[in-house]
Amino acid sequence: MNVLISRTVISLNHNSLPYIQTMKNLILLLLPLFIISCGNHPEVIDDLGDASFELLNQDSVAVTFPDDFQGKYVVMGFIYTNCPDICSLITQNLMQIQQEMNYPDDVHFIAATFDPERDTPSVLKKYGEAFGVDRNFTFLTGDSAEVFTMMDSVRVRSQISMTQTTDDGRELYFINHSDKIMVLDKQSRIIFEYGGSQPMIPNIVIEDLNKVR
Amino acid sequence: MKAFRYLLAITVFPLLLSCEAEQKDGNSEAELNIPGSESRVRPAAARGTSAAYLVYTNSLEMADTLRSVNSPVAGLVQVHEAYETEEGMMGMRQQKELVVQPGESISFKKGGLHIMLMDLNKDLKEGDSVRVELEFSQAGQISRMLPVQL
Repeated sequence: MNVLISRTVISLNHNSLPYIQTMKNLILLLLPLFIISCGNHPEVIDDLGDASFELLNQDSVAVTFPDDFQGKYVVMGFIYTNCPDICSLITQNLMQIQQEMNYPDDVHFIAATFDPERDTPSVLKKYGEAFGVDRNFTFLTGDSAEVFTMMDSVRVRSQISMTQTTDDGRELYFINHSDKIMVLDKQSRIIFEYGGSQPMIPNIVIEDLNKVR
Repeated sequence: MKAFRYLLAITVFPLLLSCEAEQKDGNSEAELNIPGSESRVRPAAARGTSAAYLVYTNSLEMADTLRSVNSPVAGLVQVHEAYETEEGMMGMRQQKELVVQPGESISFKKGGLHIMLMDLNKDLKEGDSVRVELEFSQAGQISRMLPVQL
């Protein structure tokens, strides 16, 4: 930028110099603001604006994702309720972000299951109650095909890994899965992605959200 | 004054005994060492799955092996380890036996080794307590009440 301005000055006559100098100072003054403002528009990782998935929340109410959340930032994690370690940490991180941001009205929190067969709305509701989740926090499940299409669209992978049998002969299965929390902007574009279960994640998400809100 | 001391002695002694009974349960002489605030059981709903976290230090002068884990709130209890798969996914795998050298500890902690409480027979809510029992080859049965906490 400075090089450009210097070349322009050379090509003009002496009467123009005060004006050019003023312009140069103005640009130098505004340049940092321009750079800061660029930082507030992070690169879009994926645009879900045209996507639409018919799902159910923990109250068995139909939810269209992401359409029903447009106009709000969305902090979204991916879990299954029979995973008490890693997925509990993801759920807890979502809750911690919400609590530390003082329950912001412009940010909605979602935990979506990749185990729709077992994680029915009522199971998700009890899971949320056990964790003490608050308002503006939605659990998502639904028809398996629709859930897995949605998971594919946000690049969340899952795969049954291990099966255990209870004393009464019932089979419990466990799932290998992506460890992920992501942030959608108000236009349903994915703008941030993180490893979901790590303890430092809430602070990073809050910092990133505060830059763009 | 003498009567007061006598009264104090007969009141405090049973209290001390009752405290000791909370620390040890079963037939073990080994002590369960649970430092810090990380000892807990995750909240979960009935028929669901929870995890227990604690630290056990082997205070015996010989290596010991954890043979099994149990809890009255769960139909199936196992030691699991969280790990990252070659494909970059998070998974769990069962650890059937754990050897603890003398003076060493096993840490059941978030994101690592943990005690899986599966097929829960009741809701576990914050404020509840859950008994977890560890069966060692040498130390015998160690049990502890853990708070249900996020």
